[in-house]
Amino acid sequence: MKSNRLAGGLIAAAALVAGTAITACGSSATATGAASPGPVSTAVTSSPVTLTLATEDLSGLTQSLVKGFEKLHPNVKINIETSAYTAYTANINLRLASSTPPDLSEAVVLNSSVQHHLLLNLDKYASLYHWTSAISPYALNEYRMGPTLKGGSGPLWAVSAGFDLTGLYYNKTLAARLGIQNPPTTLDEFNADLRKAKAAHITGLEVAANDGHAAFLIQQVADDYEPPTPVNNWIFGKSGATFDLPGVTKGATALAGWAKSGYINASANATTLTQAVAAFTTNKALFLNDGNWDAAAIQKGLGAHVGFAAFPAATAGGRVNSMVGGTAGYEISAKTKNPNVAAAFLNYSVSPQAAASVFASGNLPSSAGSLTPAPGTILADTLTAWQKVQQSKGLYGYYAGAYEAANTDFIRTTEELMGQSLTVPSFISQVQSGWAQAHTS
Amino acid sequence: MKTEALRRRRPAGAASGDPASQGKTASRAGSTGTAARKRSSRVAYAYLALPFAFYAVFMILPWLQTIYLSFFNWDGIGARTWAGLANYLNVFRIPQLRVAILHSFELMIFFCVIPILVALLLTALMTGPRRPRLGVLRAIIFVPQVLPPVAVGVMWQWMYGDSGFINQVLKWVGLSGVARPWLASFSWAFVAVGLVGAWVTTGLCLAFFVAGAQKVPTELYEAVQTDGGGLVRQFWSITLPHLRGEIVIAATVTAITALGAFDIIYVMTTGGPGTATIVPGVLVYQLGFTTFQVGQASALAVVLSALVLLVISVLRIFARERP
Repeated sequence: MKSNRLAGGLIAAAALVAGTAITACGSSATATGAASPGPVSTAVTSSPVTLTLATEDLSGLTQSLVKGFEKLHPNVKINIETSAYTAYTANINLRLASSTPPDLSEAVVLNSSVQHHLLLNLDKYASLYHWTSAISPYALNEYRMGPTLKGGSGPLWAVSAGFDLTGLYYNKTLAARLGIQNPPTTLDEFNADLRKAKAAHITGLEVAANDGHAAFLIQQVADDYEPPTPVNNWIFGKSGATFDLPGVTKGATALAGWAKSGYINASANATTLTQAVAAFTTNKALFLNDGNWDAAAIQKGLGAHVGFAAFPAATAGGRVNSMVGGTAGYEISAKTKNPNVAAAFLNYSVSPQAAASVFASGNLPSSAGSLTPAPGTILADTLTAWQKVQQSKGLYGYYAGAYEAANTDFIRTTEELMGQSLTVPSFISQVQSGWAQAHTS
Repeated sequence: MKTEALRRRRPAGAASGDPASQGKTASRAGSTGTAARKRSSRVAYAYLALPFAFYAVFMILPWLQTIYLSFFNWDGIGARTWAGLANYLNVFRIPQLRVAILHSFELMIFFCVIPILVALLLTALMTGPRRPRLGVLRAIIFVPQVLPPVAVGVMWQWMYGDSGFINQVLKWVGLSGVARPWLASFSWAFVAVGLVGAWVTTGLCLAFFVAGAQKVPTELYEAVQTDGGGLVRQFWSITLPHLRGEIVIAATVTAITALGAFDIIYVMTTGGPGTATIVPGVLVYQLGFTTFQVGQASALAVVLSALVLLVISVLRIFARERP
């Protein structure tokens, strides 16, 4: 508050208007709130309640979860406020720190929200609802964070309805034209398929480098060679972790090589994910390395002419890997007046009742249950890929989650890598220095 | 309240049209001249109050607040801690800063030099003794100036796309070898973004120049014609010297646009590929809203403002009329 007085003095000249502007800003500067809920209960009140939910989820999953929950509790109304990803990440903590925070919000900048005590500690609800036994630890651990603000362990701050999987979408029409029978299972087969596509003047790989997805390719190749521990340590910001791993060199070298060989769409550096999905669904490329959040759109665009497979392993029988993260993960505001209702919504989102709508949206539900996808669909392929990944214990976080500016840094450096204006060692050292700066300041 | 009462009283008297009351006002004018002047200046201030309030709230205050925040470490939420001059020292350690500032100056060619030259050429064609009425053309050229920059960015992103309008035209005229995804190209992205800037600011420059040229008395052109001077002579000897003031204003406004460029570039390329189109405005945004280093972002913004002021001052010194 001292700083506010100083500001007031500074702008005394514009006295009338000064008060409002600085106070508006100052109110967000204090962020204290009970980080632990009061008496917790699974009971949902029967009197009318309205909750606000802030999200950047455009897939329709959140909408269907809300609809399902409202049907179960007709006295509860949840108002959804949707904004675009960049606007959401820039504003969500300000919203949470304001006097009227959303009761539920999508967990995308967890560490700063936890740091400023803006969220409710969900540990008591986790034991009340038995989340730890019902939900896959892959879906849960992402939302654990201790006082050092390193993820992966500590109190639980959010719960996600499902979790996503990354792999390779392939266009069956183009594959048939090139004489490719099955999706590649090794990097050698993958390279051979890309060569065939190039020879037939077909784009092998559609890459959305402008959204940071070139880093997906680097990571999927790198994770073929690197076991999860050192990679996840780096992603969770553990001290002593490094990006300078032999696998990363292999991944970055592969990406630069594919770009140089003309296997990647020439417009990759100006292509966003939405544009890449649009290009892939209009038969412009053989492969798209993406997550299952786009499954519904891709299935709709290509119908029966598309398949999904786990990313190829280094060699036959090698580790099959995927990046895994929560989808529609929601946190509860520390200031909510209805923590029990909000927690009941989280519990509904991971319940077997909600699992069907989660799976229908292309995501794997967090709670175990019997899933019966129609054969020949992306959903069926997703389930097969998931089983392979799980069997080979090839689960990794996302590089982009390693620090706040990670995605910005990856967009710039991978573009330069593909443009052959950055060497692989410089790429690694630039990313590592960004990481070191973020984790020491 | 007082000003409101004043405002109500004055038009009532003026609009009454009563010769008696007008005469009375006139007879009192001499004795109460100073008071009337005072009153009218008060009215003037009253009229200025509203725009000033808007200017204060939306321009001056955020600017002062930016300066203030630049001396703190702050992530936008928690407590601010005093940083002294540390953020200013760190500004010069931002790795992409040098190339971003260099790009700002290069953008002046596209936002400033090209539009002024093109607008002068168009002015020469549109004005002069015959002054053809090209209102529609002028309106078309001015339209980009009134479009929201985000819409301009999105539109040109499509046009520059792999199968966008520009590549389609190139392929249609048999230049498929030249066609490329312009915004993905390290060599062309900057030029492509710059040309959009030129497209936007040319209309503004033209509006300034045409307005300026219309003030030139036609007799001057006729005099040159009598002396046997052609259109080129008329432009150099009459139009151009008369437009000196307008050129200085156009250069100032467009230079500010170039140095502060953000929206069009952020929408079209977010500064990429790599750092091919990075500008300080994008860096400020990334520091403030991606890494939440609000103090650091503010310091860079203040440095950028200082740079703009410096460039504008230099421009004005050069533009000063020499005896």
